[in-house]
Amino acid sequence: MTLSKYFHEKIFKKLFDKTWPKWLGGILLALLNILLFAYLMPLGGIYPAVSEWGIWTYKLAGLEIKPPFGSLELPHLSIKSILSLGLMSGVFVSSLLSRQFKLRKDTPGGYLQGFAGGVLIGIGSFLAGACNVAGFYSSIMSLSLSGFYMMIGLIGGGYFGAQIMMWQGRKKAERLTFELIPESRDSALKEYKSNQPKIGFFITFILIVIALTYFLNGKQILGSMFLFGIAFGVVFQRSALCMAAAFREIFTTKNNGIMRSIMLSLIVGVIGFSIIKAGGFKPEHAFVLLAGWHTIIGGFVFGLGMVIAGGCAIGILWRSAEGYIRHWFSLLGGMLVAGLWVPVYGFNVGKGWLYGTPVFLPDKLGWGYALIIVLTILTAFYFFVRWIEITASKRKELSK
Amino acid sequence: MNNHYKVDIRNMMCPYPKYVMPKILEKLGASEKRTVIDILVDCPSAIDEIPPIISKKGYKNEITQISNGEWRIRVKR
Repeated sequence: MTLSKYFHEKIFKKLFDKTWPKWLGGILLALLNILLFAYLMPLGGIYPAVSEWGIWTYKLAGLEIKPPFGSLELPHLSIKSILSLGLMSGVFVSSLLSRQFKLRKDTPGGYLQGFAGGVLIGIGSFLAGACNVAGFYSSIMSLSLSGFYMMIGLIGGGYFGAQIMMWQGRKKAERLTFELIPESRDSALKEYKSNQPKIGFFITFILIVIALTYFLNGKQILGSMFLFGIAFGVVFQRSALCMAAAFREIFTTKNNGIMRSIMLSLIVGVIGFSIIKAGGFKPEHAFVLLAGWHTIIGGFVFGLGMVIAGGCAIGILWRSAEGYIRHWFSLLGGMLVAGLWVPVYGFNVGKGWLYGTPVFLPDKLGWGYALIIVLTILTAFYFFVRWIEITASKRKELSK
Repeated sequence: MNNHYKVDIRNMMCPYPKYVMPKILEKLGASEKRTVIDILVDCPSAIDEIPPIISKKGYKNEITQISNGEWRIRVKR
């Protein structure tokens, strides 16, 4: 066996032929997030990045809008944007190497729904003060009460979104056409030879050059954030850990593999983040967000939006990079709403009683109880969704 | 007797392909024994999620990639 053949058979095929196990994806995401937190900040800032892109879009149209956080930087010089751009690049490369990239068209109604979902995601992020990644995923790892509030909202919104998607699914099923194929045309298909992996290697090379350019110009943080983004993108794409699906499937097919791996990911993350915080490597109150009614309502609107759009904050970036045109509209909807952050809200995001206050659970309960309670809730939810899964499949067997 | 069908659900994004599967399997179940249905999909998650739905019903499936990001799932009784 030659070296290139060995590489192809043993490494490349394993990485890019089959989807990675969901549990592995969950653990890898948690480890990446722990590393990223130890380095700079946890995975988040997707929404502020989208907001910056929205402000740039308005600017190109001649409208001057102030950014909600700090000053407006060019996307390639903004830490938040570069993480999201890295993530999209990672997804793009990964989908090419896996021979899965395709420009996927949709119906006008699909585009409109994608746009509407993006708008709801935008509004939900306003209200919650963060997207699902920062507000739910990284917040729970940070032992912030807000993460659980947002989770409640996401489950509620996910329920209503799931009803809409199932109703649409039934309508699509009615309209299916079964086309008869003449026997003569029934030839066996050969394995499809794709040139996408080659393009993927070429793009990988370009991405490495871009990262090196940052490092050589003394922009270590930007370069590292770009690389982190790529790593996150590859893991999301290869393990298909779609958070919109996690919150939707509890109510539809009840295949809760993704939700379970997210819980597993959170458990690993909580432990890692706690070591970093309790060890004094990062401030304890890092990523502790406001917990109040706004968080729950925002989570609800966000949850509904992400399910009808077909992707959460990361999901719409990821699907856009995989070639789903519908999600370009979602991204546009999110950008246009997020860009209006300051004109609509002024600098009042987070002010007022509805927003509540940031609650760092160890402050209220002590480290010991906080960890025990959080880990118990996550484990209990893991088994709860597993129980839903088992009872649903038993019911199906009985009805056969 | 011709009993080979094609259902083209390319451009149907996730999760719709798995939501329309019951209808496709119903058609297969109601047809005569030698019937084959080719489902054309372009959603990467469908090729992970649809085969278990098919095998749960006791049917056989075979996946072939037909183009970049496109697959044919052949279902047989």
